[in-house]
Amino acid sequence: MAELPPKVTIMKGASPDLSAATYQIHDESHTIGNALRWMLMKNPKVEFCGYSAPHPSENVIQVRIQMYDNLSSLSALITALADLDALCATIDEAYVKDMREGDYERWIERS
Amino acid sequence: MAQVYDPRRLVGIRAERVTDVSSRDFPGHYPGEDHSWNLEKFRENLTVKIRRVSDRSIDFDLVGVDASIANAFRRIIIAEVPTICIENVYVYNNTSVVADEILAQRIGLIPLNVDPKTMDMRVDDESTDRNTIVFTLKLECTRKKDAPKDSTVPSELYNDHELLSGHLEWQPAGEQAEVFSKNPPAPTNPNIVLAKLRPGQGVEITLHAVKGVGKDHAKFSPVATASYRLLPHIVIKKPIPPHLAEKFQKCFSPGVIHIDPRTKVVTVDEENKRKDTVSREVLRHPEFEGYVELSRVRDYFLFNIESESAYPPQRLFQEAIAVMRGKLANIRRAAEALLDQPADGDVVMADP
Repeated sequence: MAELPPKVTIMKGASPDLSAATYQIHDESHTIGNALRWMLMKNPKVEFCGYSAPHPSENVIQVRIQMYDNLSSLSALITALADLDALCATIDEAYVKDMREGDYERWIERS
Repeated sequence: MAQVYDPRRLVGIRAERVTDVSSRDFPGHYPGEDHSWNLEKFRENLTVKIRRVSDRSIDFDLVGVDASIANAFRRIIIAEVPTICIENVYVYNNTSVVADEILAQRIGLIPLNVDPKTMDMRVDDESTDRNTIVFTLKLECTRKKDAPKDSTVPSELYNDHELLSGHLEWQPAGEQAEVFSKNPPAPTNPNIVLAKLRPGQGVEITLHAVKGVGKDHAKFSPVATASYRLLPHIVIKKPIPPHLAEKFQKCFSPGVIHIDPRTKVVTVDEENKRKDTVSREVLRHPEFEGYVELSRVRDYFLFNIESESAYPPQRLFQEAIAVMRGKLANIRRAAEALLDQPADGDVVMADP
């Protein structure tokens, strides 16, 4: 099997303290890109965040993060990933709770 | 009593344009307001309400999340929740009128009842009893001896004149006989016609079913549709004149507008307003100008998921959340590996 490219790389041109950097995430799409962009923008220390899927034949997305106060964009990225995970867990919890309550209409669907 | 929403949550719908489409709840947008991520606040605002469940589909409301999150789940359900489908077709004999590759394509699309949890992904084409299920398909059409002379009905004239999904025969291998003893692998619908046969025509095929995802091939998609729309919101600004009440009602989907039978007072049915298609018909009539405002609630998602796979419909959303969390964990691991590496402005390679 061909060797897998690294999941996340920092693209050329990042500032040395990583306060501004573009991350290339392999084998991801708008699914993660847009959600991650949203969560990063929720961080008040993030000056700018945007993502793109550069070309349909390349299976990657690029996430650009610029920070205030020379903070590390890498730690902001990791925090955002953790926050997104907590968000998913919260939605799952709420879904399971409502499913358990069983207060919904049941009907028969003919195929 | 009409439901009132924070105007910031509404997407305006005018006759020829939409307004306030994008969410603006980011830090720094509104001076003096804190919109940074807060899990506690999010949990408080979040509502998940299951509305309607059948054996094939589910309707539920997801309220209080951004479109990027709702869309991520929708995309994952369609393209990244794994299912089991036939991937390899070995044709030993096919004398039917359907060409091998067409038949193979049709066979691939058959939904199977195998719970994807019970199987592994096949890597490097190495088949084992944990990642491959084998079926055989053998059928030959023959003439019925006692067929009525003047009949033109195939079912009276021939035996086995239709090759159906129900003709798939599972061939257990290794530990499969035990694992699948309660629910032997088979198509979810045994009546799918794969080919029509006439006397002398027949097929003999071996099939390998594997686990895959919808982004590789649409046959692996676990759903017929997975979609959401935003909750319609209708505000009547001033009382509708009684003689126009019925015309007003007809501008909306049935059940959305309620007219009091005695007083002819027009109100929006809060339970049924979700049924509106937001056709904007009401905005075409000059006599209703200024009477009504249409909008949608930006963070109020009405999900509809139709399962077309082994998954019960209520499980699909949870599977999507699990896939999403798996992806996040994967990226996070790779990002954390970058922390230990010195940044020199050049491309930093993560561990493969």
